[in-house]
Amino acid sequence: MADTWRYYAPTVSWTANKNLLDIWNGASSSKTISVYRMFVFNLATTVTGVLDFAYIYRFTDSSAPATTGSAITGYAHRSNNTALNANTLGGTGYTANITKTAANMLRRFLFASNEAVAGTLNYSGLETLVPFAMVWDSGYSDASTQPLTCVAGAATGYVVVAGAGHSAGTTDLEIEFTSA
Amino acid sequence: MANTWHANSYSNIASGIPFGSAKSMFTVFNSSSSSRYIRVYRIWIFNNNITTAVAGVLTQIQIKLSNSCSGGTAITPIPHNLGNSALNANTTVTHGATCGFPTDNLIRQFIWSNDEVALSTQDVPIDIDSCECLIPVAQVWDLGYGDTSVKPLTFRPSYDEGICVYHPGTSTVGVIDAETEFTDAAS
Repeated sequence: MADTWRYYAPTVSWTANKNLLDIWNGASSSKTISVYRMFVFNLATTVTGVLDFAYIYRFTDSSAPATTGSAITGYAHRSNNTALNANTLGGTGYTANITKTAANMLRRFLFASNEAVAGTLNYSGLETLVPFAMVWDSGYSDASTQPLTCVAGAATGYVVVAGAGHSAGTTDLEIEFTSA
Repeated sequence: MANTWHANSYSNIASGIPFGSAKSMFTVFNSSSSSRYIRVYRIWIFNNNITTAVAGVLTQIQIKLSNSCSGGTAITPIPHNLGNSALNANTTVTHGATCGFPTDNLIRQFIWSNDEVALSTQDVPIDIDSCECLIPVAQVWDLGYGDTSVKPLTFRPSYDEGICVYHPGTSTVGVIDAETEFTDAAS
């Protein structure tokens, strides 16, 4: 099996149009990156949240995402994985070099950024549960289908993005991927 | 693994596919001129209306096999791998097409609410309108469970074959977003 990794971004604030978590594989990478699953968890506590879309996009900027955001270090699913290629990068909150177009929008989904409430099953509460937090799933064991792929030698990335209406609340995000 | 594609309606119609009476909402079709096998693994539909209050109703959605498809608005599928060869021009994804159906075409039907999702839903106990926005619930067709002994829905070359998300009711309010995941292969 391929070396498997996880980018985990804890306690990310929802703000309008924010690039919440991205993965990018530069053209200089000799590795093919396959994205299997993405998760977005509602982590809000006592906030005036909103109900608006979130999005998953592919982007093909030739330069790495940059400016104002933070790099994310990948967690290896096995401690002796070969190190990730230096041109495979994760980040949160980056604003530059993540060009999003309608033609590259893979999914949009509603996300409530209000807090969950004990004793009540509401939309915000469901978003705290793992099955509902899994917003992209290509990890269903069928070798006939391709996961989202960043081929070696071509700059490709994927990003989870907040909609324009988001302004409050926090989230944990994950991207599960392989490098081979 | 086969070339895999993801097609979604909202990259083409951001406001959502409007409901219509007896309407073919979303269609994947492989015409007889195609040289490829198209295999549909998964379909999602979302009740993503949070902007327009409508007098929604409990209606039905049907998933039907089709044997003709014309008109409608084309949706450009997105490859899972940018190295995929181009999709055959005779394989199309559309919304609002006119579909024909063979005998025994109905393979699933289920109740669907086309009422809007209330902005207060995040605070109040969940209802069917908002449940229809959650990804596991919105996945209304799934053969992507990893068992190679089970065939996905397969549309062969040289035959007019496809699948249609169909609204058999009369309600004309509300919208859906739709997605599908499929592969194309030479055999």
